[in-house]
Amino acid sequence: MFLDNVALGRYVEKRSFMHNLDPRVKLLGLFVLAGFAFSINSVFDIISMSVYTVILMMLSGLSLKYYLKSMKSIWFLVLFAFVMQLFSYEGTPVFSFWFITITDKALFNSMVVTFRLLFAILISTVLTLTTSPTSLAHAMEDILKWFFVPKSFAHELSMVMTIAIRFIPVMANEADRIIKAQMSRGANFDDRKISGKIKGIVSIIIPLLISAMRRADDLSIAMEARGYHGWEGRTRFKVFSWKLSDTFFLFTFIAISVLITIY
Amino acid sequence: MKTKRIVYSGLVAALYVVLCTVFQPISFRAVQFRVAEALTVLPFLDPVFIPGIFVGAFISNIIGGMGAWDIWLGSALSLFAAWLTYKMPKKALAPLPPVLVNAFGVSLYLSPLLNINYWYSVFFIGVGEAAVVYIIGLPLLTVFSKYYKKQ
Repeated sequence: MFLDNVALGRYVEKRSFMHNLDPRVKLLGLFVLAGFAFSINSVFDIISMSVYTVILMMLSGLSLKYYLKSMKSIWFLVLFAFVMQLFSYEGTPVFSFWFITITDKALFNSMVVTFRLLFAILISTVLTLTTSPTSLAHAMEDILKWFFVPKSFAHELSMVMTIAIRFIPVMANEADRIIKAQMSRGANFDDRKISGKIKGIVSIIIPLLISAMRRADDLSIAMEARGYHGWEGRTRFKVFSWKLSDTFFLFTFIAISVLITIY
Repeated sequence: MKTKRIVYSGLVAALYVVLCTVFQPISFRAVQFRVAEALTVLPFLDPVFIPGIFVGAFISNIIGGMGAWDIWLGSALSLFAAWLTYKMPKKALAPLPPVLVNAFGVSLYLSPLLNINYWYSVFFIGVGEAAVVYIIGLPLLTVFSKYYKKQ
């Protein structure tokens, strides 16, 4: 039931420029964007970011429907941000009805905020559509090491992420099973009262958590039996290699960020 | 027992992501009622859950967050809040760090991003987070502490 909703299966296997890029570069690119995208505040910035985002989407070789799907969970926030700006600025009125007045400045600000969100979401969607979750986990480990996080902790985080990714479908299945079991015992998850909703949620979380701990005990024994002993001496099946195209991509990310900051 | 710590964290991270997905209609909105945040009280019982909360938030933000800021900054704030929760002296105070860190921290990037008042953002995030962490998280902590043996 919930397996369909677990969107980590978002990654689409394909051969494209974006798929072939080093995952570390893609994650770093997002990091750079996170810092600079606040500066988007002019028509020039919006046009340059739009062109850049469309180019990235085309380089991913994936159809538009994948990107539209990613907007599904965020449309409300985009709409909220747009409407919030509409009524919050002074300027020349362009539309007036009863007590509602929309000014040119308000319209422009709404557009800027909406585009900021859209760029951030679309660019991170390019990352998730073109990078497998396991590669993301390894990329995170490498980047943390670059930023002087102790090797052992970086490895532990990466391992936690790998285990989490592996167990998301298992836990989703378990959640489905527990919900059905509780319903058969008379639990009503459609209760309109808040107290009823809370009871329902707690009756799912507690058994899920206990079941997760049981699985954890079994898994840790299995891992140790197979010789797992932390990061020391551990090698990877897939080793990342930094190519010229990766440097070029990172450079374009920095260049576009600097461009929108300056203008 | 290092392996056990990693695995416990991994499964809590998986659970965080699943809860975000199962209760998606009330997650990822302007006033976020992210039910999975109830798990942020777990580090009070045992620090092994700290990386799990960070990774769970990281993956959930990749899936359904607001992009780059949520992925990096939002997850880092979750890590900090989880560490503070572990340091809390009393059970009743355990849900406080996620509420304060998220309300004041997330608003730091959310308010310039959405061009909204900082305190307005603090209020909405704080209310959503406090509702989940105190109403669901605290009872969860009380019940789960009976079953859980510290690693």
